[in-house]
Amino acid sequence: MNTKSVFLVLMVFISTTGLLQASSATGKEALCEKTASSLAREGKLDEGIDQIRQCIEKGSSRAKSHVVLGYLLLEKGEPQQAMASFEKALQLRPRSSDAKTGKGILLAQQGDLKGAEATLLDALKLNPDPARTYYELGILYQQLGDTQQAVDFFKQGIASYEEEKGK
Amino acid sequence: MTRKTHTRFLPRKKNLLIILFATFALLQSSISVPALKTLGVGTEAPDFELMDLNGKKQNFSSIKGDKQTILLFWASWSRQSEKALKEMEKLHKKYQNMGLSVVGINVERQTIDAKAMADIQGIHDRLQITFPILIDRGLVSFHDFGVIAVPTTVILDKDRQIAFELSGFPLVGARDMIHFVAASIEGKEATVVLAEKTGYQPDKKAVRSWNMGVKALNSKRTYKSAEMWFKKAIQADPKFIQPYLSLGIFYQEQGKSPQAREQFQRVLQEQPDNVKALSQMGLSLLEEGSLASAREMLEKAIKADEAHTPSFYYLGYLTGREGDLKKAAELFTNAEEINPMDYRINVYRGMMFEEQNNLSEAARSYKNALKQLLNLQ
Repeated sequence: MNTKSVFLVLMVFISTTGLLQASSATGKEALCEKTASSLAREGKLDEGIDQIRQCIEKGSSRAKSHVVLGYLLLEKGEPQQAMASFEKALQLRPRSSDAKTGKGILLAQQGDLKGAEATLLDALKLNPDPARTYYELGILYQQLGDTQQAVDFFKQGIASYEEEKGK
Repeated sequence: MTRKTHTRFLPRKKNLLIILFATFALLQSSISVPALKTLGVGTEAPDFELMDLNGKKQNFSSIKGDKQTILLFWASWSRQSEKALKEMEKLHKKYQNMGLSVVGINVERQTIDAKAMADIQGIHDRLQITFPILIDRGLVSFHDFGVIAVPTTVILDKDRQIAFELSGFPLVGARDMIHFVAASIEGKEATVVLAEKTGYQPDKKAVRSWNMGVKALNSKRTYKSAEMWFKKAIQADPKFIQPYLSLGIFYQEQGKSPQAREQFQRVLQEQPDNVKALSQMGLSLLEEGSLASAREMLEKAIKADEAHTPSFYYLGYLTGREGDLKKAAELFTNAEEINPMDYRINVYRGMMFEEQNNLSEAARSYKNALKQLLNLQ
């Protein structure tokens, strides 16, 4: 084997190792997010929040981790902390439709219906199929008194969910 | 011990003939009622991994019986579930050492909080249940199996193939189920007779093709290939009913009503009381505007199986369309009593209100349906 070949093999080895390490870290973070969500689904909301916070403290730079934390805090009734999590997720990934939807829900809760409408419609542009965004828009238009629009958004949400899950 | 009991009641020749005749008549009058959305007798059931009441993960392999496994999908809010649990406890006590495993899968609701857990534990303790109870958090197995009513009983063989299914816990159906278990566990001769009763045993190649079709439906990419697989299954075994039903529903979802009805008609020629075919045929006629024929089909479906939820909400929608909102509301409530987790109840309720131009009620119903789908409290 000549020097050039050895160099090439070494380069491939180094880059593969780097990729494996990166994907393993991402895998760990994804698992952590999944575990946190499962705990919440089992009714152990505080444990779920602790789990995802630990994961973020250990250095998770995934926007998704902050989105998961945001929704769990929203469920717990901690709107300020939830908003901080969604904002952090949007800093890391400005086109996160899930983070925008979370922010829209909070704005609506705070009474900023126009701000919520703009944010949720923006989320819809980024991902045209999110059932949750349709749901929140439906609620928003119910509050705004536009029942026909609410009906349309709820129906689109159902259709979007069914299509996504192949039901 | 069972054998002894059996022998003790063995009568003289004349009485034996009477009993044989009575058994024959009983078996003729009842069949294994379709209880699941897409799966059926002869097909492979999905595996599961659920926690038991002690927090230990269990799957089919860890919990199956050497001969058969009964899965009872139940909930504390369902009136019939308690009756079913009591019968299952009897079967468990009688056959646990003879190759039968009984497993209760609790489908209380999407999220199990402390109150739900206390309800489940309460029933478990009060009825002194000794077989394992698994908790279906997120209703994963409930959806994987395509359960239509609560309770639902599914009997699997050691290879996880469905041998018997029962929706609700009707008197005759429950009696058949008990006979089926007794015959399968105790006697070879009876199993032969019951094989006829539980339905046609389809060709394996046909079952494989049908299973491929069912799997294809679950992905956007492969959805359209389902039609080809169902047709292949029919070609491999024209007497196998399930592919006709699946193909009919596939056409119905594509808006191809005449083709859909052709498939349902084919099923009804073979099995005039097939609740799924009656119900889907009723829906197809309803969508076409043939309300009287639709009503006839749906009423027949409810008569054939009073635990088949879709028949109730299709009929509810039809009744609302005809203007009797009070009766329609009753039918939707009937459906909710059988299976409150079926979001389509709210979809059809919403459609009814929307057609009545009652937009606020329509929005409320659609919202509830979507809330159920998104698993929001």
